[in-house]
Amino acid sequence: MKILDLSEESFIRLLARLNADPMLAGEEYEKLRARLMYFFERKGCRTPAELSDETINRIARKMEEGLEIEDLFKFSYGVARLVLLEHWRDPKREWDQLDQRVSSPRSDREFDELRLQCMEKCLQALPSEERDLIVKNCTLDKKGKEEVARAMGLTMNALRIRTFRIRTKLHECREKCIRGA
Amino acid sequence: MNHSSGSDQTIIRYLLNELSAHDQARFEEAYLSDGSLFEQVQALEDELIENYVKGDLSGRERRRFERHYLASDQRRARIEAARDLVQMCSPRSSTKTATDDSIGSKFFPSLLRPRSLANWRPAPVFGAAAALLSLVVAGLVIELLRLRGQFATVSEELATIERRAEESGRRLVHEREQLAEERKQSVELREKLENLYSQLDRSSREQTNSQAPNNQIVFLALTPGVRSIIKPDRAVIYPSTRFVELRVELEERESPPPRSYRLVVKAVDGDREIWTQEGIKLRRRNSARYVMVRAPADRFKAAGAQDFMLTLDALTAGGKGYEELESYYFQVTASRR
Repeated sequence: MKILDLSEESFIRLLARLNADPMLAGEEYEKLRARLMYFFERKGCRTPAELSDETINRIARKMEEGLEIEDLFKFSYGVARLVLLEHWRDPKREWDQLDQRVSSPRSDREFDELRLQCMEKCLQALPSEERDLIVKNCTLDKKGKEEVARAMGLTMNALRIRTFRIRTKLHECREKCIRGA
Repeated sequence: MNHSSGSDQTIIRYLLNELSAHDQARFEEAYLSDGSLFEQVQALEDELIENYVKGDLSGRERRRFERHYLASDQRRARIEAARDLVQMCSPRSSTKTATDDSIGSKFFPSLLRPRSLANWRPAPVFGAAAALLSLVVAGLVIELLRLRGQFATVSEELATIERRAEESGRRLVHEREQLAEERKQSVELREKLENLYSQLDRSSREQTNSQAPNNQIVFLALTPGVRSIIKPDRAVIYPSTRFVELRVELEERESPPPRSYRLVVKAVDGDREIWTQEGIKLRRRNSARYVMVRAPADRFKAAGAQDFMLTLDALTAGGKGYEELESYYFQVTASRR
C-alpha cells in the first residue's frame, strides 16, 4: 500500500477543519489519531500508527479535492475501513521475520522484576487519593466497587472512567520507567 | 442498536467480538465520532483485562477474551501490565498499608479518634468555676459521644469494605499461586510432549528412510490449557519447508468421541481463513487423544502474517453440522536461512 505524502498546506487545512483554534485543533487531531489507532489495533494490525496516518492523509487529500465533509470523525471511519481492506489485500505486507525480531538482552526474570519495580515506583508517585482509588479498584469485587462509587457520589461509569484515567497515567509512567532502565 | 450503543453489555460484546458484523460496524462508527463513548470503551476494556487477570471472567468469557487478547503482542503487554498492577495491589504489598493510613486520616482527624476520647480526663478544679467547667465538660462529653456513635457507624462500614478487599486479595493470591503451579506443570508437560514428539519423529524418519531433505515438515504440538502469554506455541518454517504438521491434543471427555473433526486455521490479522480440513479422525496413543493434520506451508507464507488461530470443531451427533470444541492460538514465522 502506498503511503500518501501530505503537504503542509493540506495538513493546516485539516487542522483548521478540526477546530479554528490551533491549540484545540492539535488536541482534536490527537484524539482522531488515537481512535483510529485503537480501531486498527483491534483489527489485529501490526502497524496501527502507520495505518492511522494513512487514513488521515487520505481525508486531507479528499478535502484538498474540495469534498465537503459534514462529520470528519464519522467520515474517517469509512476511510479507515478502506485502508484496512487494502492493508489485508496488500501482497507486499511486511511479514515479521523471526530472525529480525529484537530480542531483549535481559532475562525474563530480570525483566519481570524491573516491571514490578517500575509499577511500584509509579504507584507510589501517584497522589494518595488516586493511589487509594486504584488499589481499591483492583482489590474489590463488583459489589465493593459499587459501594465505593456510592460513597464518592459517582455512578459506576463515572468511577470506571476516573479509574481508567488514573491507570492510563500510571501505565505511561511505568512504560517510561521500563524504557529508561 | 443506537439506543444501547453505550451500554456496558454492548461494549463488552464488542470487546469479546460477539457483535454481528453489521452491529460491529455501527458501533465502531459510533465510538470514532463520540469521544465519551470511546473513553467508555477503553475504560471497560481495562476493567475486562483486570477481571481476566483476577480470574473473574466466566469460562465462556475467558475463552472469547483469550481468543482476541492473546493474539497480539500489544494486547499481551496490556495483560502483563494489568497483572503487575494486581500483584502490587495484593494485601502483602506495602501499598495497601499506605492506603489504609490515608483512608483513616482522611475520614477522621486525630482529635476525633476513639483513642483520644478514651484518654481524655477532666482536670481537677474547684468551686463555682469547677461546677461551670463540669457543665461545659459534660456537654462536650455528650457531643463527643454522639460523634463517637457516628464514627462507629462509619468505621463499621469502612471495616466491611476493607474486609471485602482483603478477602478478594487473599483469593487473588491463592489463585495466582495455583495458576503459577499449573503453568509450571503445563510447561513441564509440554516439554515432555515435545521431547516425545521429536523422538517419535526421529524414529519414524529412520523407519521410512525418508528421502525428504531436512525441514520439509515442521512439527507443532498444540496442547489445551497451555496458554503462555509471553511465549505462545510457535513453529519456524524455512524456504525448504513444505508442510506444517499440527498435532492437536484433546482434553478428556466423558461423552463418546465424535465421528470426525474439522480443523480451521485462520490468520488473526483480518480473521481470514487460510486452510481447512474436514473428516479428521481421532488418534490414540496410550492415554493421549489427539488429531493430526498436515497443512501446506505455502498457506502460512501466503497469509503474510504470523499470528494464527486454530479452531477444532466436532461433527454433531446428527452429522449435519459442526460445533466448536476448542481453539488454539499459535505463531508461524519464517526464517530466510
